[in-house]
Amino acid sequence: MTTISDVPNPIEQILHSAGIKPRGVQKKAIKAGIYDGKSIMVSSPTGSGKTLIGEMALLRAVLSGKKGLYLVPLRALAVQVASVLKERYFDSEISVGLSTGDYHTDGEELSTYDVIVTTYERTDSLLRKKTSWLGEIGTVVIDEIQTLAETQRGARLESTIIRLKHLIPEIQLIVLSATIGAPDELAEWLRCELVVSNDRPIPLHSNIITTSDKSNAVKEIVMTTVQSNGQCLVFHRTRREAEVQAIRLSADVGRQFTAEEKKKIDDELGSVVNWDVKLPAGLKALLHDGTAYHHAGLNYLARRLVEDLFRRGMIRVICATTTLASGIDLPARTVVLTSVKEPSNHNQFMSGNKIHQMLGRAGRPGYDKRGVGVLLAGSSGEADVIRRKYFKTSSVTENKSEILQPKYDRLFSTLNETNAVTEQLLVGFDMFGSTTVENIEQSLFSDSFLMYCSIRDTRSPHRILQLDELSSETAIERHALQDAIRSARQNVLASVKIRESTDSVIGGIVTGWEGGNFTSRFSAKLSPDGTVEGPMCSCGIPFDSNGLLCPHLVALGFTASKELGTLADYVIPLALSESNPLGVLTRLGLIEGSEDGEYRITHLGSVVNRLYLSIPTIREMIALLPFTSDVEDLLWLLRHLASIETGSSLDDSYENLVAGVASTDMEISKLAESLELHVGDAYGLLETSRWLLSAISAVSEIGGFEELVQKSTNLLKSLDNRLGRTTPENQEDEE
Amino acid sequence: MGKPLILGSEPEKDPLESRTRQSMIVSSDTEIDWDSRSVEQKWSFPILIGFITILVVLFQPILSICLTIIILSTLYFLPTVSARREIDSIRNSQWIILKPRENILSETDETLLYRDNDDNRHLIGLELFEPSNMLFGSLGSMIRSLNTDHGFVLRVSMRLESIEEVINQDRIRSNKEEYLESLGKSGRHRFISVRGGLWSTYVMLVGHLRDLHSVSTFEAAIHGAVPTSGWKQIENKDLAKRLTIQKSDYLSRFYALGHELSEWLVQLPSELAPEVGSNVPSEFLSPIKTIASDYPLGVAVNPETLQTGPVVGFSHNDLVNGTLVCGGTNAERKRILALLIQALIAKEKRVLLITGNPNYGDLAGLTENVITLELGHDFVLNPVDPDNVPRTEYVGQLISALEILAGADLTGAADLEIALNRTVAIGNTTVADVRFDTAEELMDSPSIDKTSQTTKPSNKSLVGLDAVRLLHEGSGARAFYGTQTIPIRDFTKIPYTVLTINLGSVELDTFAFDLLMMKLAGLKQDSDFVVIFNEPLNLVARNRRHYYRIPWIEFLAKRVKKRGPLVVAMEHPADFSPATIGLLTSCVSSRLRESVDVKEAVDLLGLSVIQTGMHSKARHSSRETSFLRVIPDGMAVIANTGGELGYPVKLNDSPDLSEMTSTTDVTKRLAEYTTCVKESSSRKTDSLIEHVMGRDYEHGIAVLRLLQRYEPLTQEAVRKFISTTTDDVPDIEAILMKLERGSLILKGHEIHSGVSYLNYRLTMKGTMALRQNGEDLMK
Repeated sequence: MTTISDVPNPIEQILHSAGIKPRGVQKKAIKAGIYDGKSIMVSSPTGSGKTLIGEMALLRAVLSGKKGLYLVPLRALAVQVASVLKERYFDSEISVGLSTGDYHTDGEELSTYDVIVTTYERTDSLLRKKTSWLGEIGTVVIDEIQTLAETQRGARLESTIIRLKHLIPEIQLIVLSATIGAPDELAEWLRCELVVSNDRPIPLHSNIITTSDKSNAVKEIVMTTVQSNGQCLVFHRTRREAEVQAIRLSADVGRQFTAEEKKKIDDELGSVVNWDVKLPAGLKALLHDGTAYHHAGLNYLARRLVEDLFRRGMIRVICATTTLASGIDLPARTVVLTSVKEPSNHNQFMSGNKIHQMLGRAGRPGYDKRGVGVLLAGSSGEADVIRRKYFKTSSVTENKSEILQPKYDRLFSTLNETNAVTEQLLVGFDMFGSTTVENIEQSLFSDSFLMYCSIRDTRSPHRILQLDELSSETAIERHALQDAIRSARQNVLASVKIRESTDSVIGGIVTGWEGGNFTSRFSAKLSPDGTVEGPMCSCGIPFDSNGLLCPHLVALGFTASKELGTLADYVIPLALSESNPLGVLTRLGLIEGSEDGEYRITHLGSVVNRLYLSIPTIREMIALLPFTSDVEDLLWLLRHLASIETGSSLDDSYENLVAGVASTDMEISKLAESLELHVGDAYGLLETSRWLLSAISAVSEIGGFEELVQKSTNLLKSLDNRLGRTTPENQEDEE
Repeated sequence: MGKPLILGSEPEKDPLESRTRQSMIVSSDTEIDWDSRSVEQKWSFPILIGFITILVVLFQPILSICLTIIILSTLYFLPTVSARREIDSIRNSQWIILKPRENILSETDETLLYRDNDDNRHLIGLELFEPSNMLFGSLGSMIRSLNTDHGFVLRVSMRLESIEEVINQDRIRSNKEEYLESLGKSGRHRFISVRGGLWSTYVMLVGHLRDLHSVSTFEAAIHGAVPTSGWKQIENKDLAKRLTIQKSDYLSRFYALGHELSEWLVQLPSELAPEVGSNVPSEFLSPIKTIASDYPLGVAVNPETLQTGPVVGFSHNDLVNGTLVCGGTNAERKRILALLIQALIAKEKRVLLITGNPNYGDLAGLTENVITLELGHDFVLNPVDPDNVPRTEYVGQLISALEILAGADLTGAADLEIALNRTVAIGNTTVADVRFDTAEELMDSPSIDKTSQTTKPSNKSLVGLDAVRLLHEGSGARAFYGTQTIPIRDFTKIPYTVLTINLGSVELDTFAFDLLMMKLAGLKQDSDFVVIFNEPLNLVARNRRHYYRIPWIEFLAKRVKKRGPLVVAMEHPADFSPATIGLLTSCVSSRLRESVDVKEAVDLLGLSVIQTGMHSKARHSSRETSFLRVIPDGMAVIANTGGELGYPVKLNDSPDLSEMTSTTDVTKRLAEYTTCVKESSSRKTDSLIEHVMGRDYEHGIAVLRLLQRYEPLTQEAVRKFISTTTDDVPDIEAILMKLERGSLILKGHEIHSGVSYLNYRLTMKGTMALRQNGEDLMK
């Protein structure tokens, strides 16, 4: 073992004592100045040792008497990282704290730790609460920065980074990212040195298979892998699909196991170590056959068990949802993706980064010579789309085959999203006190990745942000290039005949200058699948990938604005899902106008901001609080808010769970089982409930609903009593 | 114009008219002397004369004796004097005696050969001595069968006979003779004179033939044409003699009563007429008196005299029962339509002319008071707006109409029907709103097994949806995409509308006609609103390209006709399916060229009806139908309720189509016609919210107020709000539905962490309603 420098570095000493030697990308990071407190951004494939770079930076901060913050996107990941750090640096007397959820507490108790592992949201919440120890932070490690491109969470992360930099100007940022497109842009915005590594320990071969019977295709792939002693990860869009697929595969996979191997698994399941693990009915039988499913509905221990068994090679197949995709290192020889659509929205494609992160798990160092990533497509058309969207192809002439090279997406800011802007505007008012909108725009939003991207990008719309009054023209300016707007104003873009103008739709026939008639419409109507129809145009591309409207729609919008006046001002912003953030905040009473066109946050506003409630949640809450009188109503409200916050549709079982936990002594897992809830979900929901209950109680207090304050506090107390002393390991993440 | 006769059609010329007309005496007396046609004088005058004579004889006997002597001597000398004067005048006149040409005629074996310079003709004479008194035959067919290059001689000689002489010569049958004798002398004379006199008649025919072969055919032709026994060839010698001395034999062998003779004679000009150009065949039966026609098109033409008759046209009932205008050139049909529309406007009927041919646009020039529209230009037809048709019926019909665009049979396209039904039900929608429930939506359902069974929209539905897409994304957009410019029922208020459908594609035009017919069929019955379809492409069923459409077309046509007066103009009547054409009862047809068209028109015009007509002829004429092919310009054949059979009509001149209409202020004038509706609908006794919500008024206000403050609010929250704020159990669905239908709130969606929530927000109308409500409260 050799050291990298002659003078032993205290950080390396600590690492050394933990049995770690920097290599590859870590050496590059050291070279880039990580020990000198420089901010760096590391972009490298999964499994290349990014986490260690973060640890090195954290150690530097701790050694220099500051605190280190390690931010991860998922609670599960936080738990995993925290336990690793605790274990690794226990001897070095570095205290590692973990904080997830608990948005209602101010986190002062965390001041005793040297290193705090937490989620993005918790950090944001701490920042909003202006927790005292934040000033002591020296280094912040942000893992999985590609989350920046996710709606809502991305915006919150972006805002968190801006405010962290505002708060501690000399902060060291260590940003860790899986391989993404154009990482230099992000690094430049973050003012970080970029360290890129594209080395994969095992070469990856990607493949797209077209099949009409996906289930059968999965079976064939899995069996081929299993028969050659490999392991297989199958990703599914929904939990249910994952479970069903696991059941389908189990019999065939099970046949490949010898009785001895099966006995080994059974022994492992029955061992003392795993006494605490409560497996859902059915999973045990699957494990016996060397197959498992894995999703956020499983409780933490069960998931750990499944992962552990897989790592040890005792089980061969995991049918998982995308939970497994980020962070958790679980390689397999073959990775199969059954769908490339977003779990939340079947119409939307997953980002290329996510796809490649999943495929990147193929190939297990030390076991496999190469990894195989397979994407299943339902038709050759879909296969083409997948190929074009996610891969760069280069054909090999000798055998007429194609080589698929991953194509990574550039990251885009999601701060632009309506609810996000509104929320961040509130944050801004809380931060700056009485101020004008322009002020906030300049101080908070001008530093954003959003602005950075729009300046960099030639195809960014005329108007990036619209914080106050919204007319049809401003709404369109948010979705059109400057040139298009100028020509539309001069009436040279196209000629328009308005054909329908109702309360919900404005449509017309647009004759473009290049000829051809197009039917364009702005519709605020609801389509049968429950989404707002939005802009439509018969040219086929109502808006491009940058969210820019086609020239026909721009022309229609401007003509409508001229001809229809207020009707257009009503319909077009609705159709474009634009809203007036300032108006929303004022209407909800979260801010109020003061002199000289300035606004200031109200008491309610600041409470809401610190409670970390999203704008829709607080809107629903204050709309319904006056009509919530008994516990039954309270539970209904709680369920309603929880569904909005967690993004799941909850039914009566949620109310039964909360009521059950609060009023009976039944074990939570049993209660959850009797209500047909996954234990993991049950814990997550209870956590959310505690937070929301404290929020309800706080808002009710401001509103003067004494009775409701009493009721919610009582309910919160009884929940705390049952959950209060639960170990963090029992807390669950969100999917 | 001749006087109409009581019995049948009027002869070209009254044979009696040729007699010198003396003076006109009008008398109410029926005792008219047949011979002199004079009315017997009244008794008073002879009595007065007699009385005076008696007085003169009694008081002045010498005077009376003198007078008597003068009169008797005058009578005695008068014949001598007049004879002498006649001889003198003859003597004084200058007569030239011509020498007959010689060697012109020479006898051959069979015929008489006539030589004139370089021209040779064979003459053959036939005579008829004893025809029966009813002469059957057709002079027309005879003439056609003869080679008349050189003409022929037909001589009919007549001589008045004394009845006594005839009886004495035993030339009539004994039973008749007995009857005549029983009448007495004066009775016999009256009997004869009432029947036009007794004439002895003789017929001679001389044919001029070019060659000998024609001789036998000539005879055969005559025998065939006038199938009566008794034709006898005149001896060549005899013929030569008669021709040479120009002498006629006045042997009286043929007897005909006056009216029988007139039948013979009046046939002649009309039978000859068709041979000269394209005149009207006499088989047509023209009306001889004016039938009450509400909408005159022209005057009837007497097929026998070619003289114009009474004014004819269509009655209102004809239009109600369906009228077809066919044949001819565009100009011809346009003339007929112009005349018809002019008459309709004059009668203050409201007219909607829908033309598939832009050339007919100038029909708008008939009056100033016209609204001219062009589909796709200033008129948008919204297929998902059912106008007044009940939705349940409308959607099914719409699918049938879409078949032409889809080019396929869409029966059973369930998903399409559901999608259309939803779009139509929502109201205020356009074709761009039609879409399926996405199948992927169902994939969200927890059971994976279900996904394999989820019914994807059938291929038919997809094909149908593609057709719908044509209507808003394709070439049909300009005509079918958008809110309908004018509700169909407003057309019934406009005096005259010309709507041109010319989208440049057969399929789209057809669809437009289908749609218009569907919507028009949904109107209330209105006998004063006349719809005229010119060249409706959708009714064309001829080449069976879209065979599956035929039942649909027929259904549609039936519905449209049920609504009220209907006129369809189409060049080719054969384009219609049999059932469609069966719906139209009256017809006016210009020249038809194609046999199939003629075949159709013949049925409609009632031309092939076998019937015994006025002149004892079997009315089964191919000549009427062939006339359809040669109708000259300005004429047409019409069949209306007045006469069951078609007859020719001479059309009036086309009206002036140059009435200046300003096209610029169509919208303004439209507004004038439609304001009355709007006013009535805007007059309300209660506030908008009350109107929309009815007894759920309070809930409505509460929800609107809540949304005013917190919009957009999720659906769950709004529901909870309604259920918690009231003690009784209100129908939440109904309240929300009413608000949404009344456009007071708008349903939308929002996404939180990837889960979509339905939400509600106030519409502009909702805000105004709240404000109105607030103002009401203030008052």
